[in-house]
Amino acid sequence: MTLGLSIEKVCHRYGALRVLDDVSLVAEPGRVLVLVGPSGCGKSTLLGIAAGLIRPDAGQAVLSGAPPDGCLNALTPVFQDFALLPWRTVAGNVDLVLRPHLEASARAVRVAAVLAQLGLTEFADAWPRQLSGGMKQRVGIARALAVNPAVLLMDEPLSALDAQTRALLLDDFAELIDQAGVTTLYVTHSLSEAVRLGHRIAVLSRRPGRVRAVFDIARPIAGRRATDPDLLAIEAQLWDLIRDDAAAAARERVDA
Amino acid sequence: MQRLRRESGSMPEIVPFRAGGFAPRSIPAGGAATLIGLLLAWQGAASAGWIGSLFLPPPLAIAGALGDLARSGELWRHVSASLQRLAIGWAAGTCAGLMLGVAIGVFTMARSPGMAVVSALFPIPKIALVPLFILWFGIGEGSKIMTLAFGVFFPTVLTTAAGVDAVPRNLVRMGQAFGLSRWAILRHVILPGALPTVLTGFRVTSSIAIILLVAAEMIGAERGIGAFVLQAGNLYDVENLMAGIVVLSALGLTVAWVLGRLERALLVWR
Repeated sequence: MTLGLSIEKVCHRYGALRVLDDVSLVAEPGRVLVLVGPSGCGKSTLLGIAAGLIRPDAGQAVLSGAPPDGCLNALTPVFQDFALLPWRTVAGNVDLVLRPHLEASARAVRVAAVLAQLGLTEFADAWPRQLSGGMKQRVGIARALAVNPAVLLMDEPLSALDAQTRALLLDDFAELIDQAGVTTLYVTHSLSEAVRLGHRIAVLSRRPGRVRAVFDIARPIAGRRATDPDLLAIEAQLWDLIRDDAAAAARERVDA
Repeated sequence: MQRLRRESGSMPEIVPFRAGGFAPRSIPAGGAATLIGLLLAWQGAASAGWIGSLFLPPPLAIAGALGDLARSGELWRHVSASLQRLAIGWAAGTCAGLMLGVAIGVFTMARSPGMAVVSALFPIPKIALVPLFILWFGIGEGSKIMTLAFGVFFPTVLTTAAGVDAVPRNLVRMGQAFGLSRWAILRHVILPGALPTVLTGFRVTSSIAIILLVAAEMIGAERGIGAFVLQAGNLYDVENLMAGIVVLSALGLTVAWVLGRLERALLVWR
């Protein structure tokens, strides 16, 4: 069992700036919903609303179903800038989020298990400053998986990384998400990431963000390759939808 | 300065290195050598009769006066009294300042009232309050300790609040998103995040505390380095006066060294 996540008629503004207008979307249990759109279209705001970190002006995010066994934190984020505490070691960062739920001995076992899963065992005692961007995001993923989440909320988790690290980590993400079967809301600028990871891809319009189109990809995530012709065709369609909005967004003043 | 200028058809030219300078390095031996050099020059000038010993006694005479004070036990009598006041006054002001600083950084209810009070009282020169504190807390230890605590309190509030404000909000949001309690976020996210700024504040407040210590001891004390310096000055005993100043300098250096060690131990993650 796992949870599904519905975004229902969400509207939001920052002062006079309307960023989201009547957005409704559904992330089916165990599936990956990817949000794409031009800069400033409200993707990250929508993710914040889904995580309960931003209060929407109207509408709501609704969880349905039952969380999986052993779920310690239903809605679990993975941050673009990793959000690791620099004063805690790799193991300490993972341990912290388990503290409200588990005793020290159980935490140690869980921390060791997720660090091993992400290939971080030898970095357990390292400080975040000693890690590359890719390794930091691995710790971010390990921390998220440690709480056995029902819904993963990933806000451009690869955008702070260089292209090669991004490609490597994308392969790992695909495998991890596929294996875990966790409902995932994934925000990205990268259309290739979207077609590689998404069961469903929602395209948001330029500000105020509205749902312009939704694409479903029936194929399992496992086995998808960036060069697959069907994925490239969807990517081209996505780009056709977004291009004009992206160009207009790039010309906007950021404080508009 | 060399500039890259190429004219068409001119001879091949090796690209000159242009990124030199503006990168000062620390040379620890250089600092010690400079101080020793200055002391030798001072001693030499005094021995040559260029500096009158009544106005500025030579380093060896000051060292001799320090030795006499140490042997007689008078040095420790004054230093221990000062250290006790410094420790109690600084600790009291720091503890109170940390609590209000964190409250201002975390709670809306504390922010505006707290900042208003701090902004109004911080600019008052605390030395001017010593007579008032003597009136309130008596001529004994209370007024001296309160002068120190009061002087340390306000900068501690400001640096602590600034440190809490400087903790990246996304780290707080991370804690909230993982369901950490408010206390856990305060303990594991906000306080460690504010610590570098707080420790920098300690360097400032320890210097302020030493200045106020001397001022308070000069106004109403029999024991303490400030009182000793004042007595020596009144008697034109310049060697003992300078010995007291050297002790104060050593005290400042020791405090700075201790704080440096503390920073290294607590901020090992940086």
